[in-house]
Amino acid sequence: MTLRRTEAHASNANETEALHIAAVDKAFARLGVLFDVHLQVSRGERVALLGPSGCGKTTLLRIIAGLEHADAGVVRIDGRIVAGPDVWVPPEQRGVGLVFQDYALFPHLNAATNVGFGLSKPAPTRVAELLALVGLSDKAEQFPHELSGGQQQRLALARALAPSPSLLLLDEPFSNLDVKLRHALRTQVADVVTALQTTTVLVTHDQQEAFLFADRVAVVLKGRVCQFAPPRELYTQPASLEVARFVGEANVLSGDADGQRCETALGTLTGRGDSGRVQVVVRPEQLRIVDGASPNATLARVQFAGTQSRLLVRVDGIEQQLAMTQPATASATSGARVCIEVSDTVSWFPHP
Amino acid sequence: MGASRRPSGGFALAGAAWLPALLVLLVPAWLLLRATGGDGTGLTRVTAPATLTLLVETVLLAASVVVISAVIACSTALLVARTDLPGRRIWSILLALPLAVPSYMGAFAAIAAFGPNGLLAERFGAELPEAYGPVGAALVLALLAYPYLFLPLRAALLGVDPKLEESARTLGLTPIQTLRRVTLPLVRPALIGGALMVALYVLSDFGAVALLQVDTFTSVIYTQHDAFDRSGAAALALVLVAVTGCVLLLEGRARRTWRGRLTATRSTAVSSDRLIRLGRWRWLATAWCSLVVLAAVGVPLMVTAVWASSSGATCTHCEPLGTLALNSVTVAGLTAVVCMVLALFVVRYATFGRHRRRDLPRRLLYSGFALPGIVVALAMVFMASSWVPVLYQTLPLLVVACTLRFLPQATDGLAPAMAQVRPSLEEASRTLGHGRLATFRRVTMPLIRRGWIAGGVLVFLTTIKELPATLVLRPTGFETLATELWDLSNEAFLGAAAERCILIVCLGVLPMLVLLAREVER
Repeated sequence: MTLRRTEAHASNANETEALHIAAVDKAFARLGVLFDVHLQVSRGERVALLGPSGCGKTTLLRIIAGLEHADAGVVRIDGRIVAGPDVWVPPEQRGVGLVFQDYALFPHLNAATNVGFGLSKPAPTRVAELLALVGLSDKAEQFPHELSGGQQQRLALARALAPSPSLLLLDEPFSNLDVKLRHALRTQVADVVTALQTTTVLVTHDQQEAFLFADRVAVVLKGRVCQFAPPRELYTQPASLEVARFVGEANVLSGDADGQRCETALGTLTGRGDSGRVQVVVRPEQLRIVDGASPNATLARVQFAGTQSRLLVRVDGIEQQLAMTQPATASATSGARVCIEVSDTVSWFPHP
Repeated sequence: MGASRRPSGGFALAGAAWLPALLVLLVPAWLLLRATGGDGTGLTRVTAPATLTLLVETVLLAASVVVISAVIACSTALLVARTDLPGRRIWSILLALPLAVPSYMGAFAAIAAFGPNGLLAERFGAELPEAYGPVGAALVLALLAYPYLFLPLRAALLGVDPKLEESARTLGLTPIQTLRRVTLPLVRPALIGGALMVALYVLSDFGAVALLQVDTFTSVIYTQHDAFDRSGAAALALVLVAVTGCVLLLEGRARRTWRGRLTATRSTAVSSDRLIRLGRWRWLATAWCSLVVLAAVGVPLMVTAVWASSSGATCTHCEPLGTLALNSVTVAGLTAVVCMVLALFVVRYATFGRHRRRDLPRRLLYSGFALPGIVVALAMVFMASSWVPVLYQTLPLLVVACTLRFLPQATDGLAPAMAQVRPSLEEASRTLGHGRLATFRRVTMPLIRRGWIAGGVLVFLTTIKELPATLVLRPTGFETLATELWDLSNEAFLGAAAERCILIVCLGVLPMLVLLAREVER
């Protein structure tokens, strides 16, 4: 993997590096959760850890925060080793802010005292500043249970940001909110951490959320970081079939590849990958209907989804149905014979 | 994965949690030594036919007290928590008061009030049933022990998430069906835990059963001791330990069949329109609560007051009441504090971990609550004189004995409170820059305070009432209210004895009132 660095290189920490994770392993009761995890995050960067539930991403976040001990490996924050062989910095000395999935607001303290909790001495102006930052100035005296879900979320963010952490960790912070609020809050949080230039690591299982929030996304599958790249690269050049399947929707076809060409039931495609018997990933939006050409498929189903339509097509010679999208304005009727072609370069991976 | 993320707490926590449990376990070990020692006839007592009879009688008594207590506690807890009973906040306090009444006082009152020559018979000239015998003992014990069920039940009823009952109503259940199919199953853990405490209370009680002339293991063990049949007494005590073990196993099974888990919800004030309207039944309900409080607290206090005022309350050779009260408060206060500290470790150890064995110390400690005070006291005497002779007849040893007996009351108060503290709350504090101690002080403590103090108060008032262990273990010349009450009643200075009895109740009631007055705010 290109992310891998030798220890010698890593110890020569670069000035702009906010978080460095090297060779971290973790098992619970002999059951492996994380395997040889490497991750480097630059100062001020927004990063997302994306993976299905149970993949170990939250455990990784807790290891960074110091709430969990790694079995092996090194964690460095701002160039300082906080966990490693013979080194252990307790969570309270790491200068890391963490927003919990359940927010973990102190039920016996009001909003203002919750925000001020991490400050070494009472600082009313700082508290007021943060409450204003998250738009809760008028709720300072309210207790957590008197606030709505979105307000609780913003309060938890303000509390985590109050001690000016060098690193902010967000553990699925939007998952308890409804869709509209989630979009609004994600944008707001991204704006806040960008304005403060706080390095941020977001844990999520929602691909869209990860893409919209982060500069770079690490896909975590079964305890391994499979790919760490900007969203566009992740989507267009997935490192493996698993990543391709997890990030966005993927139609998988069999094919025979030779160099940059691949023979499939949809004709000869161009793209990247090893030669030989392969599995080809075709994104739904890479398929399109060509007028006038001789038909090679039947429209099995047409679903209207607002701005676009979702079609299921049965291509001659292929067992499974393929999913594709097209603008809702284009007409399509189920049962119609059409000609389908691939409009873009694709990726393929060796057949297992 | 959730549970495994909880911190294990390390060896220090494990040590502090296991220490009291191991001390309690030393008691049966000592008993075994005792029973097999001497002329070796001790163990034959275990298999004697008389022991079987005793076993049946004790178990029957404990079972009937649990049933009667459950009826009283369920009905009254439902009334104060779920209906528009007039003055239900006041009733919540009054119904908890029997906790402060010593069982010997309740039994004395029953004998004095009822029976052919009793106060009530004299006044009204009516024939009344005898107080002596198993029926009288069961009633007296149930009236004094039901608060162990009432208090957790009331708290659990108030803690049930209203949404659950509301959804049951929308699914077509009537209020009564909702109560039976949703509410009661949800408060079942409280019901089982309370029933356990009542059963153990009966097993360890001496005062009431002795006065009402009923044989249980505890009363027979005392008689054996007085007859210097030490190995026989030890053998019987071993059987009692076995019975306690069975009760604990039953309780564990009953808990395990309940697979659900109450999610911690914030306590919502029960809005008045969710209360069941009693209508004209309110007077009957009020009468029922009055009857319970009057029988459990009113009659004993009245009888004692009559004695204190009539027959020569002055006692020339007695310690001043102030000194006695101070001594009692010292022992009870120290025990309460020690229990609160230990309970913190025991409950912490049990709560933060997923292995069932982490709950073992907490459960083992219940056996201390079931053991007669004299057995624990004599075990302490033996251990102190063998290993740490300097401790013999000192205040610390007395406090240790009372701690071993009453620690379960402290853990019972603390455990539900600790369960409410989600791990993420403490973790949030850690990531915000506070160490373990600061986190405990600023986050955990405020959240558990109420239950923690409640447990301490319960220990305080049971220690104030405690007699046998104090009699055996007190330093020479150190008198408490209970020990002098004992001496005086033996010398038939009933007036002076009654005075001390009332003082014991008052000292127990005071902290309870302070605690409950804040508790019933919700």
